[in-house]
Amino acid sequence: MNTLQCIHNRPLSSGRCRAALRRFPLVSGAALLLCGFPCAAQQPPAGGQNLTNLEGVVVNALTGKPIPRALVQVAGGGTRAMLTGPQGEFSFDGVPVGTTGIHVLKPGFSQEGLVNARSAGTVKVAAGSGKVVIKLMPEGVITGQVTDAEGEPLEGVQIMVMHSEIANGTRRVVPSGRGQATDEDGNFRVGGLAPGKYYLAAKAINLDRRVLGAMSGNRRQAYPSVLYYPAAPDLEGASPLDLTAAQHITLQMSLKRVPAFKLTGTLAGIGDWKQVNIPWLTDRSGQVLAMPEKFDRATGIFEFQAVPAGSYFLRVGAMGESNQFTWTQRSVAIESDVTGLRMVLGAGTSIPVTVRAEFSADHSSGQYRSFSTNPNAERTLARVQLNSVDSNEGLLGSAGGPSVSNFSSQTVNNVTPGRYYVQVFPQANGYVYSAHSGGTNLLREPLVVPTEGSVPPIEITLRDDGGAVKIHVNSSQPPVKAWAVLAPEFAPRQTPVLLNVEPGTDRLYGGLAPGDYKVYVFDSTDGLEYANPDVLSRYNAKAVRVSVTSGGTASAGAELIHREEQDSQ
Amino acid sequence: MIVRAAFCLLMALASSAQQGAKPSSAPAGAFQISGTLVDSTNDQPLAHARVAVAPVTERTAMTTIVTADDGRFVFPGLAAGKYTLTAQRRGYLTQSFNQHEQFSSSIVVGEGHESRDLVFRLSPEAVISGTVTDEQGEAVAEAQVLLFKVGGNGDTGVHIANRNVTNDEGAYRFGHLLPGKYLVAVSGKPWYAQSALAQTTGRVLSRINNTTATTTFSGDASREVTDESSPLDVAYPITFYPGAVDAAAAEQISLSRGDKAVADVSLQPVPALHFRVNVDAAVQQANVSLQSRIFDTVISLPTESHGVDRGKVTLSGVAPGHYTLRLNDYSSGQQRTLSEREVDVSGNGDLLSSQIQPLVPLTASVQIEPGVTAQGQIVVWLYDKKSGESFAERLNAQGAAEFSGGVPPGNYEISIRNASGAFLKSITSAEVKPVGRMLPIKGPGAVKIALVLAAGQARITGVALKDDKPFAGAMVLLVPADPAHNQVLFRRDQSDTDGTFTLADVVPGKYTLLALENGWDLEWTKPAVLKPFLPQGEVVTVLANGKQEFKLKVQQGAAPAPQP
Repeated sequence: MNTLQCIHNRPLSSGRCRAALRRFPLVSGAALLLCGFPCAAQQPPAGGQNLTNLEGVVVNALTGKPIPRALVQVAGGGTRAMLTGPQGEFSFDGVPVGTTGIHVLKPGFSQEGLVNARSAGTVKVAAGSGKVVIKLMPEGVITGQVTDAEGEPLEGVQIMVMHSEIANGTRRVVPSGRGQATDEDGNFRVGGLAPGKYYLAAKAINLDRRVLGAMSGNRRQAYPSVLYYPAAPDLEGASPLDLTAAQHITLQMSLKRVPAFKLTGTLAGIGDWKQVNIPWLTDRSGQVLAMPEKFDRATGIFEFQAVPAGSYFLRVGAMGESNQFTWTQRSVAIESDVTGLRMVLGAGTSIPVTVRAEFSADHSSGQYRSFSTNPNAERTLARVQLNSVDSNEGLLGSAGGPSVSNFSSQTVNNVTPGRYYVQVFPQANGYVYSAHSGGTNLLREPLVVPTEGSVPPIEITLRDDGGAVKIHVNSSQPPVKAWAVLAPEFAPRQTPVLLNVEPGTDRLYGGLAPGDYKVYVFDSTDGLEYANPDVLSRYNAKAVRVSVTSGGTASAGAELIHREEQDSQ
Repeated sequence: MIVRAAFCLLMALASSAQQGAKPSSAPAGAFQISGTLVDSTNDQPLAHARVAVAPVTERTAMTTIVTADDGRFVFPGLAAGKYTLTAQRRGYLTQSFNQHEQFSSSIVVGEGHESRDLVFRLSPEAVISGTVTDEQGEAVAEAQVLLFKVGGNGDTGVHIANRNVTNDEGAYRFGHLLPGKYLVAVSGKPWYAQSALAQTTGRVLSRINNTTATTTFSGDASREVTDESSPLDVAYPITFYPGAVDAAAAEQISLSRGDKAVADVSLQPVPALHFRVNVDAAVQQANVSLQSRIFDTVISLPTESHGVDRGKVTLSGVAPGHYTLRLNDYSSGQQRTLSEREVDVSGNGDLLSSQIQPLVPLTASVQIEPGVTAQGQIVVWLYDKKSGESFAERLNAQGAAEFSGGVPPGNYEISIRNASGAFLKSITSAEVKPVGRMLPIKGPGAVKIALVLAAGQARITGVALKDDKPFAGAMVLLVPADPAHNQVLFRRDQSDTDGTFTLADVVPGKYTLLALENGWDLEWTKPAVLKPFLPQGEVVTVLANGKQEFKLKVQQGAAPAPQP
C-alpha cells in the first residue's frame, strides 16, 4: 500500500494514480499542485472508525507567511507524509476522528511544530473541523570570528554552542548542534538554532601545534583551553546569548596566550582493566580541554606539555573485564609544573547503601515483597543518585562522570572525592522517611566524600504511612491547566513534586512524607527551575504552607501565580 | 630530503630551542642561512611570515623568526651541517624550501657552501568553496562533499583529498589547497525523503513468502519491481560538479596558486530503489552496506539497511547506480563480511546471497628471519589498485595473517607494516602465481601464501651532478626491475643544496637509479614514461644491509612548467 499523499503536476483520477507515480520525477518543477483526489493506494484501513479529512496550512510563526515544501507527517493507519504546496497547504483524508499525532519538518525552522498555537505534536481532529494552522518558528544563527591578541584570525579553534534548558525543574546546559572549527579567516557559523538562551565557548586545544615553531622550546605560553563568550574561563562567568527567532547574532572573540605548565603523572592499576582510554583534562562541566602529548598504555605514564594555568579535572574512562565502564577523576590545580601525579584507576570510594522499609501494610500482593531490609531481595526498594555539587557535570548533562546511581547493588562504587547531593527515588511503595550517612542528614546536606578514608553507609528508611494534600486553586482568570509544585521544607535537596491541577477543581495527592510543604501553583512551568530552592523562593509571597500528617489530608488553597506577570516584576 | 609532510614537522614535540628574534639553540658557529621569502606567483617579498630552521638531525629543534618588511630572514651563528628551512604565513601553504610533494631541499651550511641570499618561494594556497542546493534551489544541509585530486606521486589516479559537510546554508569550503586539478562530488539524502518500504517491509516480505509477486532472476542483480514507488521515496544520486550524475561528465576544477574557485552543485532527486538480500538461517543479525567507487577511491555510502526479517535483509533509499554491495554478518557481535558483489542497481528487487560473489579466504603465513624487529604487531597489507580496496590483517600467534572473511577476487599488491628495516624476501603460493609484488587472486578456492620476512634494508646515498656541478632540487628515483609489478619498491628523494641525496629503506634487488630535473610532474609509476630515462641511469644491484654511494648525472625530465 502506498501510504503517501500523491503530489502531481495535475489532478488525476484515482484510477490513474499508480501509473502516474511510476512516471517520476514529479517533485521537480516549480508549480506543485496538491492532488485533490485521494489516490487509490492512499485509503487507510476503515475498521469502523470515524474518518474525516485533515486540512491545514503551515506558516512561519514570526511572519505568518505560508511555508511551501514543508514535510507534514500524520500518524494513524501508518505514518503518512506529504510536502505542503505553494501556499503552505496540506490535506490528508481518512484521518481518524480524535487526537492525531502530527509532525512538521522544514529545514531552517524549529522542529517542534506549534499546532494551534499551543499543544505541539498533536492535533484534535473533528468531523468538519476547519483548517489547522501549524506555526513553525524560524531558527537563528550565530556567526563570528576568533582572533589572537593582535587581531590575526585564528584557524582551527573549536566552537561549542550550548543551549541552556530546564528539564524536570533543573537547569541544564547541553551542547547544541555540531561542534565546528574556525576556518582560515577565523570565521565560524553555527546555524539551525531554535530560539533560546545559548552559551558559546571557544576551545583552543592543541592550537599551538599548528603554529610553526610554537612547539619548540619551553612552551611557557599557550592559548587558553577554553574561553566562554565574551571572555570568561568558565560557564559561570559567561554571558548568555538570547537568540530570538530568525535572529542572526555576530560576535568577535579574542584569544590571548597565557602562562602554561607541564603536567606529568601515572595512571596506576592500569593492568586490572581490559581497556583504558586516553586521560583528559576537563573543566567543571565535563568539557574536554586537553589531551596529553604522550600517553603510554603499558605503564600508564602521561604527559601534558603545556596546560594553561587553571583548575581542571583529570579524567579517564576504563573498561573492566566484564565490560563495565567506569570513570575515574580527580581535580588538578595547575599554577606551576606538576610532575609525578598519581591516579589509581577505579579507586574511588565505595559507599554501602541500606534501604529499610518500615511498611505498615503488606504490599507483597502488590508490586513486590515488602518488609525487606535487603535491597537486593526481589527488587530494589529505592534508587540512589549522587549529583556532584562541585562539578556541574549534571548541569551539562553529559554521560558518565560523577553522577552515580544505585539500582540494585548494595554499594555505590568508585565515587570521586567531592560533595554530592543525594537524591532518593522510591521505586514502588512508600516515601523517603529519612536518608543519612553517619551524622549527615542527606535530605538537607550534601554528602562529603573525602580524598582519604571511608564514608559512612547511606541509610535510607522508607515508610508507607504518608499523608495527602488537597489542592484548590483560586483564580479569577482561569487558564485551562495549571501546575502545582510541592516543595518539602524538611528536604530542600529532593526534587519537588510536580502535579497537574485544574483551577476550580480539587486535586488530591497522597503518599507524601509527613512534614511541612510549600505549595506553589503556576500557570506554566516552562523554563522554571523549580528544583532549585533559590529560584522557587522568589515566588514565596504567593506560596501557601501545608502540614502533611500521617494518614491525614491537609488542604491548601493556593493562589495561581501568573509567571509572566510575576517574572516581569 | 624527505619532509614527511609539513604537518608532521609542526606536530613534532618539544625541544630545547627558544623562539625569538635571536636564535640561540642551534649550535653556535660561524655560518648563516639568509634569504628572502617571496610569493611564488609574483616574487613579491612576504613580510611578517614565520620562518623556522632546524638541523636535519633534530628537526624539532626549531629556531623561529619573523620576516622583516622586505621579506628578509637571517639565521646567523650556525655550525656547519644540513638544515631544514620551513616558512608559514596566513594565506600560504606551510612549506619547506623548494618543496615538491613531501620532498624538499635541505640547506647545506659550511665552508664552500653558499647558504646566503636564498630565494624561498612560498605558494599562496588555493580554495574551493561552494553551495549545494536541491531541485527547488533550496540549501541542502548536512550533505557530504568529497574533494578529489587528479594525479600526484607519479600517478594520474584521482584520489580523495578531503571531505566536508555542508552547513545550514548548504555551504562548504576546502582550504589550504595546492595548485592542481580537482573534482567535487556530493552525496546526500533529500531531507524530506520517506522510505515507503520502511513502513511496508513486513507486508512486502510476506507477499514474497507467498511467492505471488516475485520472480526468480538470474545473472545480474534483480530488476523485478515489487512495490509502488512514492513521490517522497526519493534519493539523490552521487552528483559531480557542476551537476553530472555520470562521473565521466564531471568537470575538473583547475587551480593555480592562490586561486579561489567556486563550485556550486545542484542535486536532483530520483525515485529511490530498494532491494532485499536473502541470508542463511544461521545469520541472526546482518546488514547490507554499499560502497561506490568514485574515480580511484572507494567511498562508503550511507544506507538504510533494515536488519534481518524472515531471512532477508532489506536496503532502501538507494539511488540507481553501480555499487559494490556487501553483506555483513553481525551475529557474532563483530562485523564479518559474508560476501560482496558489484551490482548495477536500476530497479527494485531481490538478490539471492548465492548470487553475491563469496569472498576468497586467504592465509598469509610469515616466516620471520633472525634480526627482524617488529614495531607492534606485524600487519600483512593487500591493496587492489583497480578496485581501490585494501585489506589488512595482523599476524596471529602462529605467525599467520588470516583473512578469514576473505577478499574479493582481484590483483593485489602485498606489503608488510610495522617491521621497518625488514623486507619481503620471498612470496610463494601453490594456488596463485605471484608476479613481483602482485598476487592475482581469482578464487573461489582458499589461497595460502608463504612469506619470508628478512632484515637488512639497504641505504643508497650520492650526489646529483649537472655539468659536473652539484645540482639542487633534482628528483632522485630508484626504479625497480619490472616496475609495473613492484610499485612498492620505488624510492625517491630530492637533492639538497649541495646536490646530495639519501635513499633509505631500500629492499635488496635490482634497480636503475635516476636523477631528473623537472621530474616532479612525470607519471613515473608508468614504465612507458620511465623508459626513455633508463638507459642514462645507473644500474644498481642492492644487497642486504648494503651501503652504496653514487654520482648521478641529472637528466632533463619534463620541460619546465610555465609559471601560471
